Amino acid sequence: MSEVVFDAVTKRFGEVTAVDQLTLSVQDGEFMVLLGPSGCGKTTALRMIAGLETVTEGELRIGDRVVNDVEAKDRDIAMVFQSYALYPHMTVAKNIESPLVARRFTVDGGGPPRKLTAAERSERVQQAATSLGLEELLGRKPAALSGGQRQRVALARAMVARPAAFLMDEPLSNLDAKLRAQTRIELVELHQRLATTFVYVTHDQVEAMTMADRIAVMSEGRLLQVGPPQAVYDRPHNLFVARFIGSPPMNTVPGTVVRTDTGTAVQLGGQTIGIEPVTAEPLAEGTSVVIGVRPEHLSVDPGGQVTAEVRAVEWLGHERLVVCDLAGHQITIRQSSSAQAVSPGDALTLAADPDHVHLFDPDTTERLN
Amino acid sequence: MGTDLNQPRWKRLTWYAGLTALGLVVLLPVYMTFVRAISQPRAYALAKQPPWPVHIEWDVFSRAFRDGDLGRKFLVSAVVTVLIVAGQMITATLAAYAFTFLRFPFRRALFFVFMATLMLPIEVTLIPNVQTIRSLGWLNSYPALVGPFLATAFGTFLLRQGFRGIPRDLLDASQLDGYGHLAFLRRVAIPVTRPVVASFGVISFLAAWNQYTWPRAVVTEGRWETIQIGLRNVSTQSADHNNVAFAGALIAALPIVLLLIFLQRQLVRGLTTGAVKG
Amino acid sequence: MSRRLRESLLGLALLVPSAIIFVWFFFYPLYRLFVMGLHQSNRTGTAERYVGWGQYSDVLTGHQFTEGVKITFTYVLYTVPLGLVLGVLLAVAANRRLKGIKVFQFIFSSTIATSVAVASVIFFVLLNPQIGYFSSIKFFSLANTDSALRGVALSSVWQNLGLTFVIVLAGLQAVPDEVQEAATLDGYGPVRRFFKVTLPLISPTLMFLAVVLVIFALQAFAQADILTQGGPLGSTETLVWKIFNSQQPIDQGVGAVMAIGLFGITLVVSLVQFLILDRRVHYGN
Repeated sequence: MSEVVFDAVTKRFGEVTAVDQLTLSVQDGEFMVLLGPSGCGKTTALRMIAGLETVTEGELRIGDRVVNDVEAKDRDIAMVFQSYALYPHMTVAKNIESPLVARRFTVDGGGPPRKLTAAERSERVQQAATSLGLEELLGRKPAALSGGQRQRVALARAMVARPAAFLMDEPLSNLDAKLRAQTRIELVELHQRLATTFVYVTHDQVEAMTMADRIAVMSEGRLLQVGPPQAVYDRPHNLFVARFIGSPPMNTVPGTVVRTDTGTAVQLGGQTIGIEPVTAEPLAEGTSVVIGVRPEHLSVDPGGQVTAEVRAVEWLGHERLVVCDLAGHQITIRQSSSAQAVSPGDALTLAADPDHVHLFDPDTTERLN
Repeated sequence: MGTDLNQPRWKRLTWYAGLTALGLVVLLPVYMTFVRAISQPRAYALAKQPPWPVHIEWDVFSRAFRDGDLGRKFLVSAVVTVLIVAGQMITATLAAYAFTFLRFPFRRALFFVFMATLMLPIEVTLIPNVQTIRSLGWLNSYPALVGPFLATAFGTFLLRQGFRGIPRDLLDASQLDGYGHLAFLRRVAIPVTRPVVASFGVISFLAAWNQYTWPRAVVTEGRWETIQIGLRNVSTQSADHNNVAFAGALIAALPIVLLLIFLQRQLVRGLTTGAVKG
Repeated sequence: MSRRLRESLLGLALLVPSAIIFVWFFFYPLYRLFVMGLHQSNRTGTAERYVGWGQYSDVLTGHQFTEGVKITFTYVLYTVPLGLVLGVLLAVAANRRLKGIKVFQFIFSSTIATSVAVASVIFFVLLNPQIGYFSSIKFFSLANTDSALRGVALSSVWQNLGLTFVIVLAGLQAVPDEVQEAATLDGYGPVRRFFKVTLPLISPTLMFLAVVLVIFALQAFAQADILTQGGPLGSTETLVWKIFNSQQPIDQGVGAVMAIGLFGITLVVSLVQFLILDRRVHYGN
């Protein structure tokens, strides 16, 4: 069993709390992405799993074991670092072999952990190298490799230990865009092939969306939401998640609740939008809310309820992004290139897809509907 | 700076001329010593001391070994130097490792105290140190020649700088690979900082080989003289034989000249650390 | 045993070998020096009496020490400025892209290979009153009390050339080309460029070098030992020379005080370096 469980884990560095009461279960074999801006605690959380940071409070479990006091080398994990951390003076073969030299492994079908023999080590190295296409490069030193090759060596080094969980700290950030896209696919394939738990840290929400089984969004040391990419995208639990996921980001505009004849509505600087919020309790008149709608859920519709003035049009080839001003707030609309052209200064009437309108409390930032 | 190679010819020639003149001035003292070393002294004096060799005796070098017992002195210097370099490598590496990778109480204060020894040259502490040597009966021995120099603040500083330059990720990876301290030191820390270690080794060798004041103070028997303090008898030798002493000086400089030729890069790096920022 | 404790013990243990040497040959002797300075021994060292701090004031103001300080400081003045200037001269001359420049750079740095003893023998060949090639040059004559120190200093200046050259060259090479090019575009000629642009940029290096050379000069001993044996008439008896020759039990008290004096001077010089260089790092760059 290779699940990783954070049980109310807190990490403090002196006065600073880097991770605050994190409770998260990574299922066995899952591809979990820890997503958030720099400083949100995701890397610290990852390093705690690895054993490179100690746990201040709470319990951390890998498999059935509580590993708070277990040394990094005995935790049955492997890590791929952002900068790959290859030993510059060792060949690729020696680099891949390095986790096997000093650590002990359970082989012999359940016997006590022991050191591997030279033959066993060499066999594993060959296997890992072949599966990642590195056979030709085994004799080279890291300095003679390209960025993509170094990344594969780092992966091979992680694979060779056959860990219960793979930890990855922004492994794609040092690659150029094209290589990044390619490697994303390869990593997902690798995950399927190995069927092991992957815990992956990144600040890039595209990586998270495309690779994860589940995404855990973090900010300022706290876990804000965890769920499959689609769920996090369609139903963000708070403003931060709503704005962080999705590119271009969700449009968020503040307004006030008013009661109309037809029901409840939100007033945005002179314009009124009838909405059908599904909240736990009906909203009181005068409550401040924030409405969120993603750019692709806004369309130009003569029957729409709001008017906005076009400020700029960004044409991306396959689609257009129209930046507008709505009652003093900037919003973005996604249009297909074949839609009717618009120019700056035009007044547009917009409608929102009612299934994809989000309401948030501006103070608690929590979702209301 | 660096002038363009495409300067007009006359300008370049002027530079070459100037540089050659400067070079000759720098080399003149060595040249004269060489001339005097291989010239038979009496013949040289009779010829009114010309700037070229007179009555060349190439065997002066082998005579230096025989008569001046240079062979023994060379050996003493060699053993002392090797012991000092080895000792410094060990003590400085251990200390630098501790200061860089381990956490212990008073770490910063202790580092400061270590560096403070840079303020205490052996010239200052000479009298009590010689007394200590005397009372231990170590006069004229390897322990005396080597003792005070087995540890080095400069070397500790240099190696610490080197260790601190090792990227954090590499430390993490080693930790995950299960390397204990010794394995990490052997497999990662030293190989990765090899340039710094080499530079330090060269500087250490240079300083140990060239020492004068301390050996002069703890050696009273000719048998135990290092090659450097053996050179001082140039002032006591008769004018008829002093070319042997001159030859001895040239021989004494030889190992370092070889160092300069083959290990120039490490030597220069060791000397310029701390002198140039960036 | 907890991991923390084990790490602490290991850390301290790794310092022990160095610490033993430092205490035994550096800190303990320093303490001994202070104590010795308070005592006076007899000729054979069998008896010792306490004389108190009075010995300190006597010796530090006394003729022997002040003479030693005068000679040593003069030595500093002879060797350091000239050494710096020559080093800069050689480095500037050799810092250009000419074919074969490496040969010149090697030649200019070659005096690094000479130890003090070797340099002294070399200058014996040049300046010894009886057989020296240039012994007739009055300015550096080792036979006169006025000029002997200059002759000895010359050997040090020559010996230091290699070191100063290497360090200043490194400093020059660290000056970015763009700065020089910008100055040229601004119309600065080579001389102006050197004084207004290059020199300020290498001044931290020069200051570091100055301190190194001063400390070398303060420790001058071998040169006097080999070339002049302190003479003529004690005109080349540097502080270290005096200390070295105070090893007899009867002289040890005085010698110890002089050694403390030297220590104090070295300390002040190092502190000055620290302050000036530190200030530079904060204000400069």
